[in-house]
Amino acid sequence: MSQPADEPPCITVEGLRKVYRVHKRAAGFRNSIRSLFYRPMTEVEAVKGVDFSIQSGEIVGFLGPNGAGKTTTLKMLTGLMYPSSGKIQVLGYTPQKRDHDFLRRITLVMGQKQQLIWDLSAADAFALNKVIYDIPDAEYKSNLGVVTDMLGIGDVLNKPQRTLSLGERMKCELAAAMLHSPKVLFLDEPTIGMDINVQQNVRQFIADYRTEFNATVLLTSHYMADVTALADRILVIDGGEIVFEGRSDALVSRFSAAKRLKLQFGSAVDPVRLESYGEVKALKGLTAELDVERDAISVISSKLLNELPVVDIAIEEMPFEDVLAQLFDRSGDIR
Amino acid sequence: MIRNSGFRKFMALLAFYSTEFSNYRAEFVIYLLGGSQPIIMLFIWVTLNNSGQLSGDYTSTHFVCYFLLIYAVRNCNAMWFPWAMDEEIRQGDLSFKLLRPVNPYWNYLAYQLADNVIRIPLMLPVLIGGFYVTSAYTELSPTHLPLALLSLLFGISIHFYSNFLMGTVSFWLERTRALEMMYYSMLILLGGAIVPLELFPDGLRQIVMFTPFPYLLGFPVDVAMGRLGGAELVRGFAMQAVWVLLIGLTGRALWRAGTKGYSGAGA
Repeated sequence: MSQPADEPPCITVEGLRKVYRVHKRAAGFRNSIRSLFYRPMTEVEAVKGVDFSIQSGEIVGFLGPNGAGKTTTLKMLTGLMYPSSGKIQVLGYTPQKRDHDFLRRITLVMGQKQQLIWDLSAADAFALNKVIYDIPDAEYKSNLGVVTDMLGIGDVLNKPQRTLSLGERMKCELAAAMLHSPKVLFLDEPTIGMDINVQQNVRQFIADYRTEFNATVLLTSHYMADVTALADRILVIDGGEIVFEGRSDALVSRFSAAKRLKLQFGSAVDPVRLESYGEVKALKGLTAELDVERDAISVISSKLLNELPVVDIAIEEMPFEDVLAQLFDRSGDIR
Repeated sequence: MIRNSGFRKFMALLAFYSTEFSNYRAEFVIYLLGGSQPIIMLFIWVTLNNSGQLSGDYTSTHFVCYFLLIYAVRNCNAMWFPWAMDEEIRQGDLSFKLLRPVNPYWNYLAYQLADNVIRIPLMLPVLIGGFYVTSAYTELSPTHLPLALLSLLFGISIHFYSNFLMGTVSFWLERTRALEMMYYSMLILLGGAIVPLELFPDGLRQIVMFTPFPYLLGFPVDVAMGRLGGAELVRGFAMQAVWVLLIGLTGRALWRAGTKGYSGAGA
């Protein structure tokens, strides 16, 4: 899984920028008539010069709010989109050249997009991929076995896609994207819309696949569970810039200025009085949650123990989701 | 041009789309019955001819043969993959095709030919039946049939590249239906599907023969019926070659420019 330090990274990105030209039109009927004749163009800088690198065998979570530049970056990494400037190397290839040897070594899974054909079975699509990706017979057989086993789709392979459930379809999509045993997986919201069981299934599949094939994975997801369960490291992008790079627990301790105190009281406390110690996140009967400045935590804790009927106290890091949400809220001023 | 593995990939795509289209065979039969505008024209022209209003020495079977062949040629030129391209480009599904180690161009060619693979066997009995019932086959020139097939292949190529070219326009225009409608109308009007090419007024005919449209429909039919002399044949094949190259190369250039600016919409 981990590589010797002197091996070159699997993915390197330097000074990557993407500028879109879009035409601007204000809402409303009058403006839509105007736009028939006059379309002023504006430039939007979606990715503003990012640098990062990913080692072979690493799973990296790529996080950011909607419109942060995640998908744009992913599209440039797969070679779908030309960068406006900057350099990308994936497995030693320049993605936008879309060299066939490069394309045979990567895959892109977009959870909200489907590539299988409605009226045909997954088996039809797999057979096509075998030829398109030049997969030798023996390798195809073994990969097909491994992938269908891991995903548990053996008995739906020959049914037309339209007769499958959403979860089955998505698993077939994933299998179709993996038959050529790609070395680099770009997964854009791979579990979107799936129910919890299927999500866990897919998560396990990604982890197993990485182990089996020593693959490198770049994963975006809105489900924090995907990221916390899988990612060795995370990259956070916001407003087209990388605002954090490291382990998820490092993100929490670096960006959350507060810690969370979980309190259990012996008797009722006055809510107003509780507020003087920190930000009250929850107060229900005899339990409360209180966010307190990281620096003040020991002072506040001992005050609470002395001044209120506290029977139990626990100091915890803020939940990952909350820290991210806060980070996205204020990332304007941490740049 | 096609490497060996490239050819295998193309055949796999052709088999794949043929399998897909074979699901829609009922739809194909309906198209075959519904695409009967040439049959209507057949009756109109036979009636016109019988009323003695046409100058020139035409028999009814001449028009029957002409429009039966127009019907057959039109069925070789299906027109639905620019719609598919338009959808793919606008909605970003082209991304999957761009990320496969095969140029999407081969997908589109397979898509077009898969239609022929399904449609032609369904159409042939109708055509042969029509010739048999009306004896219109007497108007065919057997010695010209190989040339007619060649000109049909050129015509299908022009049609394919035109469709590909219109498809690539979707990279810049949000909808290309209007363009396709215009192309289709010009094809029917100037291709010889309403008025046989040799009945066009001379001046108009000379202009029309510089457009690609007659070479998709009327020209192969005229070849099959032995209506063209040596010079006209040479000129016609030369024009077909010019149009294949011109439209093909333009489409290729637009495709390259378009994929370069493509943003894979929808995310």
